[in-house]
Amino acid sequence: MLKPANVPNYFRAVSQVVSNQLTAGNQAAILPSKSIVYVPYTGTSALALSRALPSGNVSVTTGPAVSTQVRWAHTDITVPDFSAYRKDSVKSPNVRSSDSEDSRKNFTYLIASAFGVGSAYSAKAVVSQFVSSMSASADVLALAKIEIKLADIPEGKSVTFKWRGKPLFVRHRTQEEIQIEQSVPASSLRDPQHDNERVQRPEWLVVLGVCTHLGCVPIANAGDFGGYYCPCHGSHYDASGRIRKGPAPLNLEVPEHIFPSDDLLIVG
Amino acid sequence: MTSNLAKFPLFRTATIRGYAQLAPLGGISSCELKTTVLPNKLVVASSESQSPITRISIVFRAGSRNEASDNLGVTHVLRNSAGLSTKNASQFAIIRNIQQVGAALYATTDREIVSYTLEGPRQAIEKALPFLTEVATQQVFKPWEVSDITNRLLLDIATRPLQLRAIDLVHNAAFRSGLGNSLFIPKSQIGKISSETLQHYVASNFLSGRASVIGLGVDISDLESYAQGLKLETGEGNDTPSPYKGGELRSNKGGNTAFVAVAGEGAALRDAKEALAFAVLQRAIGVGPHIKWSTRDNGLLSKSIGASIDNYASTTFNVSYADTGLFGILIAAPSKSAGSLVETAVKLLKCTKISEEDVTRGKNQLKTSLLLDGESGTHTLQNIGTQTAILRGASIQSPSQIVALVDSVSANDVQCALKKAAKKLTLASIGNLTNVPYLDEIK
Repeated sequence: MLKPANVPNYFRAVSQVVSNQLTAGNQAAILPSKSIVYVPYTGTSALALSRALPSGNVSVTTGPAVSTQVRWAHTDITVPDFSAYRKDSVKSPNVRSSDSEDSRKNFTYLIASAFGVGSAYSAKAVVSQFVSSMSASADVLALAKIEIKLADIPEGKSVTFKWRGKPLFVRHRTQEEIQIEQSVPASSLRDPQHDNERVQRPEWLVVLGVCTHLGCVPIANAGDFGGYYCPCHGSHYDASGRIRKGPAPLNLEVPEHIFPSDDLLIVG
Repeated sequence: MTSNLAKFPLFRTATIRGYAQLAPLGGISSCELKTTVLPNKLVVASSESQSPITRISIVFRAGSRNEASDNLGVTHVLRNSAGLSTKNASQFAIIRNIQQVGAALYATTDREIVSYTLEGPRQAIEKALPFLTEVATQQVFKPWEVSDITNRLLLDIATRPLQLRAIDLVHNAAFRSGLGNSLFIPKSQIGKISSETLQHYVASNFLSGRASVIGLGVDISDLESYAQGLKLETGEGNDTPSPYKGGELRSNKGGNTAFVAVAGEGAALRDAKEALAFAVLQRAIGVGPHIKWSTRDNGLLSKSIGASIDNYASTTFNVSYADTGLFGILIAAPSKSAGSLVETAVKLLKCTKISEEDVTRGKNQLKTSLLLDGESGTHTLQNIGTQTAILRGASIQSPSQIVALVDSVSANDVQCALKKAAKKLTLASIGNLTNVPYLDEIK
């Protein structure tokens, strides 16, 4: 605020050489530090000036990355040196690198193929280990087979074994039974199968003792046909294990079996 | 880089020329200029110059004369904001896509116009054109990006050469506001031009009635369909006349050299005859040396100064705006000889009889410089851009057409022009002003 008593101070300026601390400076200010810009020197000769004087409309042009971009240039950036990673044969500036091209390439191919073979081998080992873990274990495989001594089974008898948790009938058929079953015409059967399709040796019948109706265990040497009879619902099987009467739809199942020698049977 | 901008099929109809027919790089400078005015009053002007370089410019009558006291310097910020993120393209996408195809995009402002120009090979332009549309018409001015360009404003101000500041000062003294506004933001306004100020300025000045689309090396029908797709608000906006007032401004900066501009009222661009007379007068007084390594021209000013002073430079400047103009002499000289040079210049403006011989020399020099400038696409584009933005489709002329009109200027016209300029003088000086006289001291 201008007061009449102050006005004269605006027309003169005083600076104290030695302060008596009684009249304090009344204005405090922070002087900003000014950033310095070096304007490119254009010269002050008549020629330089005459080239720089504008004679028409003055306009200013700028644009994204065109004319007034600001760059901070560094001079302390070192050029990266990759010679530690380069092959010795190409370091010399006096030797053409195409001369050593074959040997460099051969070395690369050799290393590449060696690694290729090695990795294929180890890949195979890893793969086979994982794949083999999916197959059945040894104890399961051991229980999956059963060996039967045929000499212990007299002619005309059907003996029951336990195989994979199910009853297995092994029947030593008499010559008479064989003839009867062989002569049954397949067309007269509910599940038409000739006797030859079900047995490997005519005197030995190997079937699962599970009724194909509802899974009961049939009784051997019983029923109308002298083969097997299921007491649950009255299914009659003949001496070849084929369904002849009753509700069961299919013949008794014949498991995989082989005869390695005359008196040995292996089922499974 | 993908972008969500629609590509504009601009050059599907472009004819492919054989090697035997190759046009010069600058194009055929005498080719016909075609002009159309769209229903929304947008002016489209194009000249298929067959140049391998295509230039497309979107021009708005929004130069610094439209600034008011509260938004002084807004055109400078606007100029430096060209290329900031827009509605559909980020700052990075604009720069990357334009540089990837090898085109260049820039913004030019003077006291009358703001123009956005894209230039590059034809195929590149087709790909980069959506970004010109974005930069020129879809600005958003994100506040954090606008505040980032403050350092560029400071740098621009700090690197202005003194002769440019002399031209700024003489405008300021002659017109005070309006055309007196500088092309550069005043230091006090830095940081005060906000995003809203920019948006308001763009909304009130970037209107279809104040805009034009100019092309060089592009067919008019292609350019027209491009211009029709521009989303511009319709309207004419407000034009404030900025009459010549005259006065004096001095800025003592020390140093060895004084830059002094003495000026009077020049011709308006709308008065083509008078503008030509002033252009001839400018050459008659002299615009500096034409000969390589020479420091003298053969103009009236050099003759009246004589050989007594040798270490100086001078030129005559002649600028035409929409409703008025500025004509004068710019002198750069060591401070001890500046005084007598300024007195000679004022005397020359006030009482010189222009001879027939001077007029003929002026006409020849004018024709030469018009034709030489016409070979440069950039210059032609700027020339046509200013014409279309101000004259709005009425009597727009290509450089070669203007040359044909030069001969119609008579010695009497030139004398009248000088008389008009000398009616009320303006003096602006910057540098070491020890010996530069004040206007009222000069007899």
